[in-house]
Amino acid sequence: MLKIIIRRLIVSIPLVLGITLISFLIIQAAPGDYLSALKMNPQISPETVERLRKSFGLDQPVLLQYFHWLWRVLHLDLGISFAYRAPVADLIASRAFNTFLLSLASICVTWSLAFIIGIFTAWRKNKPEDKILMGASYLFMYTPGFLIAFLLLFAASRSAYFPLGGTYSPEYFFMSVPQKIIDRLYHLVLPVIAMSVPSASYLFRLVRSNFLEFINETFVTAARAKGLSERRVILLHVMRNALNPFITLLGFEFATVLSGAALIEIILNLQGLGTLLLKAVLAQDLYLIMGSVLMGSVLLVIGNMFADAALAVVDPRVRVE
Amino acid sequence: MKAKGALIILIILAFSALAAPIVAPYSYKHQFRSYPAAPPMRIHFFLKTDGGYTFRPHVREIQRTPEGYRETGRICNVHLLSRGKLLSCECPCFLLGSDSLGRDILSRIIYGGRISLSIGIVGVCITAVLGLLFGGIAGYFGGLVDMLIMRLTEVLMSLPSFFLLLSLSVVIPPGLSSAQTFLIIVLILSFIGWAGFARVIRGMVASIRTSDHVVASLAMGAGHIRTLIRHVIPLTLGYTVVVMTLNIPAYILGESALSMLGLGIREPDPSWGNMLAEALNISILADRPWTLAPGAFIVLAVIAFNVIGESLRASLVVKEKGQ
Amino acid sequence: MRVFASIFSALLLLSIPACKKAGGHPPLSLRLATLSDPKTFNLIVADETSSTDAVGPLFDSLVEMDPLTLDFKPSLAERWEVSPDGKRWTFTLRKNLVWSDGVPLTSEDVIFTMKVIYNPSVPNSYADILKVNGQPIQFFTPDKRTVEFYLPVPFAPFLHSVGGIPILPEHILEKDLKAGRFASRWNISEDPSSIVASGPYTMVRYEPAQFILYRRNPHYWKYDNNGQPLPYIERRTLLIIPSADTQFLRFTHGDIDIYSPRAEDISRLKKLSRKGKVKIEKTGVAPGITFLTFNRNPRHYVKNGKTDPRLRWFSDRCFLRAVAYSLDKKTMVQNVLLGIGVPAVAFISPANVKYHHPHLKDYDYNPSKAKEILRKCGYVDTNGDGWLEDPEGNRIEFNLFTNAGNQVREKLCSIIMDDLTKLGMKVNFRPLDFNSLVERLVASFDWDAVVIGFTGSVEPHNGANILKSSGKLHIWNPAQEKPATSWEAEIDRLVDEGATTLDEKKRIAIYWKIQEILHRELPVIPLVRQVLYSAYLPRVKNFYPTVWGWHRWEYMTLEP
Repeated sequence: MLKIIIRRLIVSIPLVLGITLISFLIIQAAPGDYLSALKMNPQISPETVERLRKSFGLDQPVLLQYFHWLWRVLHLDLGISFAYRAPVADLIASRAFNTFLLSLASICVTWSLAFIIGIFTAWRKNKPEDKILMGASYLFMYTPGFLIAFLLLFAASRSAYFPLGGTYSPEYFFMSVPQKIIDRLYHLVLPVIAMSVPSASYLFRLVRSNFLEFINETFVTAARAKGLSERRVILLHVMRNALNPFITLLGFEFATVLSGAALIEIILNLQGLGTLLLKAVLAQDLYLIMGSVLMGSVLLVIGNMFADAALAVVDPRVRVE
Repeated sequence: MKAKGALIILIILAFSALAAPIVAPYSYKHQFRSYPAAPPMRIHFFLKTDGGYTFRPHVREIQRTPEGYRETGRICNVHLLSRGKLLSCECPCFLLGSDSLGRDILSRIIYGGRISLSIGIVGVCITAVLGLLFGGIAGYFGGLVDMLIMRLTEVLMSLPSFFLLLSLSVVIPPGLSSAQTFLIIVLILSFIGWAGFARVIRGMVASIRTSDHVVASLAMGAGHIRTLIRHVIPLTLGYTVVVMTLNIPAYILGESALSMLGLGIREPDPSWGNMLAEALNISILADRPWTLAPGAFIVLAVIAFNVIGESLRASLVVKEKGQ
Repeated sequence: MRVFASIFSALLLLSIPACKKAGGHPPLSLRLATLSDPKTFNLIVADETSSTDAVGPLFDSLVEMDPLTLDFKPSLAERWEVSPDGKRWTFTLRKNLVWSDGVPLTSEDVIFTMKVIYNPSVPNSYADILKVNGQPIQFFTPDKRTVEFYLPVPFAPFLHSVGGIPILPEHILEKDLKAGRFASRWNISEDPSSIVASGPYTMVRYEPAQFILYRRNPHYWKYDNNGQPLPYIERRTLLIIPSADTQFLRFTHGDIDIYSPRAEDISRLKKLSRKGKVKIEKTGVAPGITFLTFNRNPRHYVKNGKTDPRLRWFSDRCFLRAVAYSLDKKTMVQNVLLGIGVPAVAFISPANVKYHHPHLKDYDYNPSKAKEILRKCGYVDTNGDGWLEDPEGNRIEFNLFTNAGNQVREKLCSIIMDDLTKLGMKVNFRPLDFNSLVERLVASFDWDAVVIGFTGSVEPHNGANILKSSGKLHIWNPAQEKPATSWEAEIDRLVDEGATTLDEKKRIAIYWKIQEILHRELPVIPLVRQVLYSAYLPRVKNFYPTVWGWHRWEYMTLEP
């Protein structure tokens, strides 16, 4: 097992390099650059734009720019954001904690909801409770998260139970530690609902259909025939087999813990990476985007690696070669 | 039974999209300039006369005033199946209201169905075929093939697709219609979008491969390809169908996000996605909720797809079991 | 996982009563909202409004403009003089000016600021507006309170330029300039309370994507007649709320004191104001301009000695006049701006009360007149295919671009397309993402017609880059070596004259002339301008919003 992981790690290095190179080329191939917006400002002369271009190093050949960037990354320097004139690492770090907290909370809520409801509905297939939950899932699954966020905000503005967005109250800095934790969690409620409800309704359908796939398999019937209780049959025999695709999915989730959900962040006014990166993308803030591409690809590779390892543990049959 | 109902709904939607010039009361781009954001009007079938009620389908004409729309008191007859239209009114009538430029929302929904109904299916099918193919091969054969395909998926999943689209948008000639442009974009998106799906399939296939009936099939002398198609892939279909039907609305809605880049369906052409995008504004939503109507159609179509998908899967699995 | 979920929900239940008390804000703080985070606290290198809005209250200039009268009044400088030849400007600073850290503010700080602006290692836009005929301005300080500027020629916009320059503290930033790291100083990861201010407020705290807190600068120089320190409002909170919808909701909920509504919010706000929940005030017409323009750049249309027929149409006044007459601006106002707007006629907005030309007669919507003009000039449908042909038999067909994602412009294009189609022109509309569009407009010139806008300024010379034929933003044919047409030559001459004429009446006449020429030749066809409103909570008193800013805002108060 350890050997496999080490081999995967060695393969990952050229992989991440390849991803960043291709991404760099694609970003640079897109029309315009960070300075395009300045060109439409009547009060900024073309000479000033040219000088800025030089000071950002954008006048050099693209490949050279990439290798400069790579060289700096190897020295743990992600470069400077054009828009913020501040180190990319600082910018990302300043938002990462909130995004991480939100992603973690919503992943936990999503997956626990999905598994509980998914297994329950598979077990109670075609009973009224199954039909009601399946019907409700139609409604929530197709409602985009940002629309739910929007409606929650609207409802919150009519009642007074929840804050209208934000990550914490203005009084946060004068609170004791337990109060701070409670304040944070309280502000997490609406975003977590907005992020979890659509994905949980999506995921529980997958859980349900995958459980149903195995519930009638021969080995399950055999287990039933052995006289095991229905609960044990489901938990022991069906669960082990049906878990497989979800471990792979969980690997992807790991890759997205630090990507944030820009639209929900914008509506609920969260202090996350999603908005930062969306703005960077729209403004073509090169090194900030590259920072997020690098982060995303590393997390994806690691996430996939762990997912594969977990898969091999849960389902020994997958452990081929 | 449920599947039949869903099929009928889809057929009606598809047929009206195809026959839009007849079914839609107006052209999708005709602007009734003095009727911006008009509320939906009801068709009244009976008219109250001295002698009671007589059958005479009509709408009540409305007029814009500074305070909003008011009925003028005039009665406009509604004709069915005349002048080459399924439905025509004697004065501008908007059964689902009009948008801010005074275009009939119902007509735009009917025309918009042409794009929205077809594009999701195309995208989802390509994704599913590629995902099953690569995921199946990787999981079934394992080893180096598995390794290469999986690394490829990691590259595809990490690429900044936003910039990929932007770069490619330069290459797309401006003369193409918005539907053609969007079709190209959907093709690109689904060609890079199969990666995640393929990874899941690969995991499932790898575990199914060692199960009894696969071993039995191979022992009986069936080829690998035949075994893969007949005995392995069917077990992943439950997952596939759910993922496929779930992704159709993503394409329908994603189209409106792409129009932010000028890559979606563009004015004045309608699509359910870009019509819904207009409604996503708190003030507009409160002032004229009827602009949400395209959303109802999206949900309707997607549920229909889903129900059909489910029953399709059920029948495939039954067939597999029966053999 | 289930265990985690139950702990989580238990915490939620516990937290609700605890947090209900916590709502609300520190008392008597003016709460404003902005759509995005500041990108930097360094005003010299800031190049977008989110930064200048956030840091603006920290810095004063030598002079400031009254947004109501558009005249300049003393700020850090208590008076100024111009020499009779208009080439020497002398500013005298107030006595006993002090930075927020207690260090005296002197003319050395002004000189330092000028040095920063002209420093080649600090690319910035101030250097561009502080150039007269391409030459830098000379500056000199005879004593601690006096600064003299020497200009190569008289330059009317000079006071406006000076009014826009934030004076920076030499004692803080000098070593950074010397070390060549000025541009990255005062970036947003620095402690905002360390920023030394000369203006009415200092920053107390900045939480990214949440808020900026300000407190009155204890050393600020402004006092009212009774000796009370100004501004009256001691605290200010700038909430960073990236969605306009959320801002609107929070304003109606009473979380924000002042909100700049969108056109679609007006009807709802008017209802709320009738109930006394909010106040809403019309401030005037938007300062910028949104227009339709056609490409008349030979560098795009003349290839290998062959001229594309489109160049001929787009430089044909007949064609342009017909287009102008066929645009239904009333519908644009009613259906796109929801009635909250006016048709745009003159190039300079009516918001600029000084330089706007009020007597131009608009090309009123008249499709039959447009058809008539086209017919007279030889644009007729000769082959009966439903589309017009030019006298040489080429079908009138062109692309129309605008920036994607701007709903107002996309809808304007929809109406324009409809109007021109009725005239018999085949218009292919395509929204492009903003950067692609800019590259086409300023670099590749590969476009036919475009709907786009420019922001306006009180100082008309700030539009010189658009008006002059050599300007990079002379959008229809930029950066010409010499003017392509006689009227462009005339505008060039007038713009130069307007820059060197100090007499305001004469300047106004010059800019009226420029607007008349633009109106006659139609290189740009102005479309519509939104009417702007300001909405605020009733607790805000003495509030006088204008299009250009708040009048006498230091005297604003808040009721508890």
